Amino acid sequence: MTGTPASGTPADPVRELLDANRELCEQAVDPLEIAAALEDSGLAADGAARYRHADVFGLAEELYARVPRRPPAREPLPPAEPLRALPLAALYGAGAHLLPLLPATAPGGPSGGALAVLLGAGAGAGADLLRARCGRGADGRDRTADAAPGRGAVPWAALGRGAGTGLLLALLAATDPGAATAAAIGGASAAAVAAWLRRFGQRQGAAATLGEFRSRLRFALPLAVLAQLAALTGLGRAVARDTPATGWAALLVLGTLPLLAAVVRDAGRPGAAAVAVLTAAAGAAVLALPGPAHWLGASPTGGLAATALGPALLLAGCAWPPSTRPGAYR
Amino acid sequence: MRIALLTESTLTNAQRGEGGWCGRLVDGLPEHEFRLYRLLPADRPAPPTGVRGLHGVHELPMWGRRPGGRGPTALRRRAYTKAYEELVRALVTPGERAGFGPALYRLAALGREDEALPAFLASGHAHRALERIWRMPGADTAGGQPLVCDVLVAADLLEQCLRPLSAPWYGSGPAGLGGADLCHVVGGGPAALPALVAREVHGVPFVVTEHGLHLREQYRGYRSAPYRWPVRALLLSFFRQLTEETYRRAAVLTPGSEYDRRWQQRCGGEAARTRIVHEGTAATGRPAAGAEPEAPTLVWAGALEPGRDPELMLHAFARVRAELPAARLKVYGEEGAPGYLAHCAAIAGRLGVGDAVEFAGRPASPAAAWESGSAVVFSALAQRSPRLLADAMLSGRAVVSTEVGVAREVLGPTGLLVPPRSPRALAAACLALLTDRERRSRLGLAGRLRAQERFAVEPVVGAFREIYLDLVSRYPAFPARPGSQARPFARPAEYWVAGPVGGDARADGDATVEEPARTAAGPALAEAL
Repeated sequence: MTGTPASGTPADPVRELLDANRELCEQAVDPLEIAAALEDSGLAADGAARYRHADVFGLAEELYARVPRRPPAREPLPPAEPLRALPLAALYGAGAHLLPLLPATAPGGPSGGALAVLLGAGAGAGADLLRARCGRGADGRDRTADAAPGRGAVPWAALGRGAGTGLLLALLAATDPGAATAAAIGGASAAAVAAWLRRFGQRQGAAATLGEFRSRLRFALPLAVLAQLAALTGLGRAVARDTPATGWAALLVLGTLPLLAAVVRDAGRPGAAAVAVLTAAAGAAVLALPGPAHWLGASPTGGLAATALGPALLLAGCAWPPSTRPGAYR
Repeated sequence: MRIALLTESTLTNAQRGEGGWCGRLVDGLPEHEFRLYRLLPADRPAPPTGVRGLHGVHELPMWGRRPGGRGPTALRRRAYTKAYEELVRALVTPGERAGFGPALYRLAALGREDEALPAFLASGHAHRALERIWRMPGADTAGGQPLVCDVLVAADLLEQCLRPLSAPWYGSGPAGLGGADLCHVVGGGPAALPALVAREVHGVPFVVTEHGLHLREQYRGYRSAPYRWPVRALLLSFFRQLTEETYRRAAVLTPGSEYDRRWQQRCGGEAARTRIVHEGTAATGRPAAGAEPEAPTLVWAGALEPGRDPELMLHAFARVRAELPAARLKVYGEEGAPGYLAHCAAIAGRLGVGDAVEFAGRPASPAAAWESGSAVVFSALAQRSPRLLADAMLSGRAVVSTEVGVAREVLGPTGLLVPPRSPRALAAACLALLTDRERRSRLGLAGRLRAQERFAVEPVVGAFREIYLDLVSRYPAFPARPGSQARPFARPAEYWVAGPVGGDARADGDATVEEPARTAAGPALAEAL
């Protein structure tokens, strides 16, 4: 380009184009993105010649170089689960725990216990299925992709966890119906607290680094467990006032177990959660047999609390480290 | 010879009739043995391929739910993390681009050894590695630092894009890519990953055919994607590096148009290895459209969306109508943007041509649409694909188009080209055609002949017959094993088309192969050997 530009053409023709496409150029990640957008807006090779470039790519590179990058002022963060998910989760939790309690209290005995196990398994799997359906967010992305099994597969983990819960509740109901009722209602608060923890974790996605995320989430799970214990204490006072100390212990342990199991499941290890609950149930069932209970001389509720305490502690240890990682809140 | 067709499922689906482009290729080259390897969207039932005569179909669910599986052992995790860090560094650090290919092949090699790649890519270890490199000084984060949610989303997307690396396709048996003589990638993008790995591991050359560039579509699509700037930057950088690596390694590139070739060249496709092969269409055998309608009618076809610019057509038509009150306009096509049809109808009403414009919706067939007019008009702001233009030309009606994208090379001298966004120029071109019956029929006939010549299926099949033979003659028949020298011309080209006798025996090893090849290829060759 020699000499002065012809009269009528501006000295810097790219300037107009730049002003017209400023937002595009500021947010572009690559000159080719600008080239694609320019071609979409009707600029062809001949059009580029008007801006003294051989092709659209050269023009796009000039635009990219002349405009500093600036991302949009408010970029949307990935949406967290809506608040209405909390009462819904509480509803599913209550269903999954109260349903197996009905046969365990009304007919009672071994047949009632067996029915409770079956109902518990069915209700647990059903609640998980409903939760997965609601978990599909507005953007259509499956949030529970890693936790839930594939479509058409048998949800063994949910079935096992439900069956174990049913058996534990049936055993508790056989010895202390009041505490069992309180623990079953506590299942609702456990589900709600787990949903709150999940939502809280999702909302911390705006943390700058993984380290910051970890420090924000470090005490979330202990706080959630404390909240669940407080809720159980309140329920126990309301429903089972004259329960002995061992009954209280069983209530607190069995009421916290569903919360920990739900957290471990959400963190992508549904199998571990199911195994822990089933272990607790199996241990409690063995202790409830006439022989062992007689030899040990322990009260039935005390044995229940003792057998469930180990798996609960293991689950807590298993849930705490992953609960500080963002991958657990997808 | 044995050819592996690699594609993402959308291109071969049966909606485009008779198996689409791949179907026509397989039908046209019955002497070769085709296997189809395709990447599917997970969670959805796979559409039938619609391609007849395949020797096998291998599918890999690519998008959606991650397949199960365990992560690597603690000892091997170090190697995984190192390779992944190299990959991310190549994506986010402008000076480290060269590391992309090696990191990709390293990840693929690790994944082949213990099949733990998908689980590793989704694990917290990968997240930490991604964040560490992404936030290092020197990384390109001009548009904002990545947050935790960005790390998660980007790691998810990368895991999905890299799934073909852990496909069970890399064996050298008859079903593996190692047993193929060449790979043919149709459509580019992640579908090229298996071909890149097969080339690296087994030395199998590959051809890339693209109709509508994958990379350009990514740039266009990600502008409206719900991702933050850092995620967009990382993913688009991945697609660009992948495309550049593909173009660099491809033995032959066959873009569908000169316009696409320019983009490919910009992304590293060498001119010497590029050959334009137009997309053939079965519509070349269609008879020309019959008699023109009574009233001078313009036909406009395409999705109703701002990019196709039907508004320009309406403004131009208002000018045509002022000169030629009998003129009519038929607009074919469905709404591409919600509410746009009503918007166009309102514009037509405001311009006072509402009674002469007919919004006819989706036509029964393209041929019926073209037949209902005296001339066909395209007013789009961008013409990325020659498909619709060629179809209109095949009807034998004269075509007016805005001069964007592929319009000039497709129409050539057989149609009228006008600058985009200019109602006056478009109206003048339309008037020139509508008022001159003789010119209209002359241009229409020339356009039909040109389209029949360029977009027939036979030249496409012939071009690929040549390309395939040319390729296998330049690459060693048996890939170099470690320690042995690769020998070009180890087998003559005739060997590969000698028929199934030679083809079956080939897998047994060098010693047994010579004899059947000799007998099948004829006495002259046997003498020469």
